Amino acid sequence: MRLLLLEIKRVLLTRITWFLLGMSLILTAALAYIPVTFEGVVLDENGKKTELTGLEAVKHYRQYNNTIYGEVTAEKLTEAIEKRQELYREYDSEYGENIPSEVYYKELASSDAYVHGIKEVFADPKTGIAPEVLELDPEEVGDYYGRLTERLASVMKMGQKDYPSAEKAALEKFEKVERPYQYYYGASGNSMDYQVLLIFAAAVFCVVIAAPVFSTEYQTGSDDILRCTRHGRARLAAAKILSAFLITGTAFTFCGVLYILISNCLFGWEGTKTSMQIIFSVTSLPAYTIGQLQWANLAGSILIVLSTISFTLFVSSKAKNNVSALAGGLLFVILPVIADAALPGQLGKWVGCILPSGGIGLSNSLLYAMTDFDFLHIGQTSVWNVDLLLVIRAVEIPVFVLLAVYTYCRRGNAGK
Amino acid sequence: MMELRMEHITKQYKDKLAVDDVSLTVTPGVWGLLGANGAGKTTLMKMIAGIMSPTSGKIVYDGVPIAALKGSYRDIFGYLPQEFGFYPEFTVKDYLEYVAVLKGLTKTDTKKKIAELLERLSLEDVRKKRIVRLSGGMKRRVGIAQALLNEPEILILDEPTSGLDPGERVRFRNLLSEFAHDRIVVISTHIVSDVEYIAAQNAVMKNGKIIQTGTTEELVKHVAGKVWTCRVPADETGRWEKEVQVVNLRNEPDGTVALRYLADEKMTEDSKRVKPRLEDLYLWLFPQEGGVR
Repeated sequence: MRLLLLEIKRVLLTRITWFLLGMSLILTAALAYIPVTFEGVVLDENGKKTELTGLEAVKHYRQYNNTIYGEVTAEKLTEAIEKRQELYREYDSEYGENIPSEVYYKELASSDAYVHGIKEVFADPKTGIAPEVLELDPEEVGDYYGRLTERLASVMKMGQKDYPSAEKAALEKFEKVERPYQYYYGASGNSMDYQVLLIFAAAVFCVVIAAPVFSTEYQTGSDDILRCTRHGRARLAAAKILSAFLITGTAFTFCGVLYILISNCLFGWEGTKTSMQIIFSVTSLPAYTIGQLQWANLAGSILIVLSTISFTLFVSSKAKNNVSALAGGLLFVILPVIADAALPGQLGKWVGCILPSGGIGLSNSLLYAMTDFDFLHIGQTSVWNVDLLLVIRAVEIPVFVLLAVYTYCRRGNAGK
Repeated sequence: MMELRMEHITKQYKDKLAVDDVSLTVTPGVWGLLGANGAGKTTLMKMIAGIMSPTSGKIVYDGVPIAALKGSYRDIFGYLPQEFGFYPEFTVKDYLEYVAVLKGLTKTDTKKKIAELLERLSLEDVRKKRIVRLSGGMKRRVGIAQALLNEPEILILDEPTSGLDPGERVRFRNLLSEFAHDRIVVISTHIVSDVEYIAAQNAVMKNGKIIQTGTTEELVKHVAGKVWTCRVPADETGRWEKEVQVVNLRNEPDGTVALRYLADEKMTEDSKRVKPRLEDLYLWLFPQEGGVR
């Protein structure tokens, strides 16, 4: 315990650690706030147009009691489409382009999320192309919930037609999604995207903190002394690993929690009750609200970051100096993104899934995996990308920890 | 009696034989391991420290191979490597506390031992200073302090006096002499004066092999009758340096130079045979690497 505390103290004494921890906090606050600046509304008060942006716009939306919020019933959906079609026709607008902004914000803005989902449900099952608003039949829109399963089946067929097992697994998952959906103001897709950005940046910071844990000893030659001491082998390695986990894990979790708190306080906690299917795809597989999705994304990302850290520590135990350890650690943070982009189809997804940092990249984040329909296949068995990603991360943590301890103890071919 | 035995130790790197079939039994007292740079001393020290495995052979402490003793060997061991590495963010006290915990000292013992060593090594004033900001000599003293924290039965010091000023060297030698009672202390060095007065035994290493062992008196017998002094004109010193191994030269007030040199026969009529020292033996054994001291 004394050793662990001293090791934590040692890491916390380094300037780079404090700099990165400070930067993480600033970044957390900044990234939580930025999505608020995207909010805007134009009001018409007795013929006088007023434009509100940022927090003022959010405040306006939160105070404005719109009947559209709450349970997303078939009636509300039909009404939203009817109203939109009516205004499109009134302003002779095919895509809503001629509608004055004050009218748009007053009549249509709050139902944008509905319309996006309705268009998705009624997309062509073969091509996936969504209809325009005026092409929708309001009567058919009433069957929104009845069409969801059919829509998911067509999505799975389009993407993974050779694997009926994937379609079956997806439908089974979707079966658990509660309907009718819920919708409240404050559920922000932008905020979710920025959570992904924060997770990536914080993970990079964590890697920078963890990379020198072993390599700095080799670089300074201090390991020659430490490894000659009674507890200077496996116990020291364990203390170093545990301290790296505690410092990076705590910092990452703190930033993640702080982000959710700031974001939800700014947008309002009501929004967290929104079904994730309203903000993302209408057939998203997890049975989560936006609030649950935020926490699930954070919890899963903590697991992925710990896996990344355990791998970075292994690299650090192998590297001769800090630069190699840092380069190795950071390379593996971006490698899943490169693998996903460069390798074809399933191969890229498998590699991205197996690599220890798979799930924290900007384009291959856990959040996007949760909102996506990718299944990986072993023979005719299909496993959802997210499930596999998290199981592999959980297995990798102890594996890389043991490898790091072993490598440190065996350095210079010394016996344990 | 406690003993550390090296049995046919060899260390082969990819392209270099660093230690070549070394067998040596080290007993309590101060041992000087002498050799030029690159002789294999540091590699041998690392193998004794257990942080490098020999390619062949074994090191045995009181009849048990150190590889089998594991933690219990490290428990009675103190080591100061040639390059004293430390975490740059540590103060002297932080660092000593960290090493004390690794050495398994209790909280009370840690406090007591650190206070004692800081005093003995004159480090009290800098105990809250970051090691990175200390002078070379002070850093070395911190290195010595960490090695002594657990009062080791075996103390291995690789070039311990580099960076120390003459006064510090004397204090260090006295400290070691006091400490070495009933303990094994091995000092690896190429600075002969470090061990000349305190080493009970010496081992001389060259090209990875131990070529001589014995007390200082026994060793210097190898150059008995080969150490001379004489006076030569100042402008002839260059010629002399080419012809014989000059141990020392000193300018005299009368314009001549007093030479101490090594040769089988005297080179001038007025050369006087003198009592050999360990330094003479060193230069006799390492004529290329030695040079004028």
